[in-house]
Amino acid sequence: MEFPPEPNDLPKISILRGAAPDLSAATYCIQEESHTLGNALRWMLMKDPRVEFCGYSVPHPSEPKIHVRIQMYDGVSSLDALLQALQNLDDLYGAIDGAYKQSYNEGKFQRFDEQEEGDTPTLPSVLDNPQLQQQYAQDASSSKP
Amino acid sequence: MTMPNVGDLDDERRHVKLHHEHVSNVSSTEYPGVYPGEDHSWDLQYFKEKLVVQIQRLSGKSIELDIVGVDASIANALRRILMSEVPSIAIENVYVWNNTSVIHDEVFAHRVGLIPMAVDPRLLNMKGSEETPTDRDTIVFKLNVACKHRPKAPRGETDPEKLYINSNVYSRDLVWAPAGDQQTVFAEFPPRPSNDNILLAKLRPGQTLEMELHANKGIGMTHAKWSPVATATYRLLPHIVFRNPIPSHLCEKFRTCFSPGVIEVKDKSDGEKEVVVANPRLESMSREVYRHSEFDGMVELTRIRDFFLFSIESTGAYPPQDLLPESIRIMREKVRTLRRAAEALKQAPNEDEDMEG
Repeated sequence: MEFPPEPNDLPKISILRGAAPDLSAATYCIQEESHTLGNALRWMLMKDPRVEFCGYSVPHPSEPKIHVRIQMYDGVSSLDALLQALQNLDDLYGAIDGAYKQSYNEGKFQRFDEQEEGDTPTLPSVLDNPQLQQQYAQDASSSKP
Repeated sequence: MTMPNVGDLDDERRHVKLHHEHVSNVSSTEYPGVYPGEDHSWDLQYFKEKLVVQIQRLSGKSIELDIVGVDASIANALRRILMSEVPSIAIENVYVWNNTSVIHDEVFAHRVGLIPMAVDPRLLNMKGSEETPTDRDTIVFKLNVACKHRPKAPRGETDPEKLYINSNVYSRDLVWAPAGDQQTVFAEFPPRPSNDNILLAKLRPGQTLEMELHANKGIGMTHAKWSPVATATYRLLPHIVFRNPIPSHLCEKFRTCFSPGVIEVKDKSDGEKEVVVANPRLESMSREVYRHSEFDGMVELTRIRDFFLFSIESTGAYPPQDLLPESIRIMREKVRTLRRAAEALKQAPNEDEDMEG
């Protein structure tokens, strides 16, 4: 088996049988995802006061999919809560990214040397060279024939 | 050690407690509805105020940093992505024209696949397994090494290095063969292994290695050779809670119950001694202090649940400071892909409800 599996025709996200008609309780099947996204998403959904219950599982370790169960209070749609949680996760990682880059630019950390014999010099960082970022962006856009 | 405002470390809710033979209070409880009168629902502004990201140490190979104020699921996602989803370059296809060494073709091919490459993965595309290689997705190396007798080697010499030429084949013997516009794209930093002195094979006179090696971009999930990190780990900040003061005559013994540098013994003004925690980061959490009954009830060992000490070691594909931003970018890409799919699902709900049982 090729791993990770070649992209298949299954939809990225689908609703499993047995969901409430108003989607106030539903289990979502997400393809090509693992604990990486599952656990973070579960945490963010549990941070939503409209969510009564949220849990996730990887049904089988060799199937690259996760199940996310969401039950809502007051007949609210779980799909709306899911969309909101995804937006919040994006914001959260944006905040970490910003804080990291700020810490890097402030430069209040110890620099030390651990190069050993035969080591190739470290490649340049995009954090130091913003023009590299643009170059990468260009390379990415002009790369496919 | 720079320490910005990381909040109250003595807040019991932030403590993961270590006992003699078990650990308690492992999971966070700060969710809406758990504590009466407290909110705890997601608030970006509040999160930003509490969040601390502080780089501690940086070298050309590794980085150590603190992330304070996030849940384990958030930090763990970054760690998992660093190991298995941030792409790098590794040799994938080996075309052997001649191999008369004692190492079999397939063993040698596996071996060279594991050489870490100092090639910026952001400059290459992923190659589909059935696609023809192009200069945009494949870097070609040639390896042509033949072992010979060294002329005029002294009689009775036993050192193969002095007796033969090319008795050892090293990673530096890989020669990059630029294709297409690679000469300009990789002009400043030509593709090469992260270390020149990796031993690949040993040869004897008459033995030859002749092959072409194709390096592609891939991710660690497919094969660990594509993982851009040697290690990517985090641990929680150790925190020592004193329930009772340590008696003066036991201070020295108390100090030796911890890793060197964690506890310092200080003289007080009244001639007695006291212990202070000098650097909790160094503590190995051996729990040695629990083995001595004279310290019963005096001290509690804990870790701070939302205080992550990351340690990331690059294989050379990225400068270490670029690894975490890459993992964040990939995580946000995942989230956005799913968000687009979920929005489409909202437009056309239950389209494939019966696909799964």
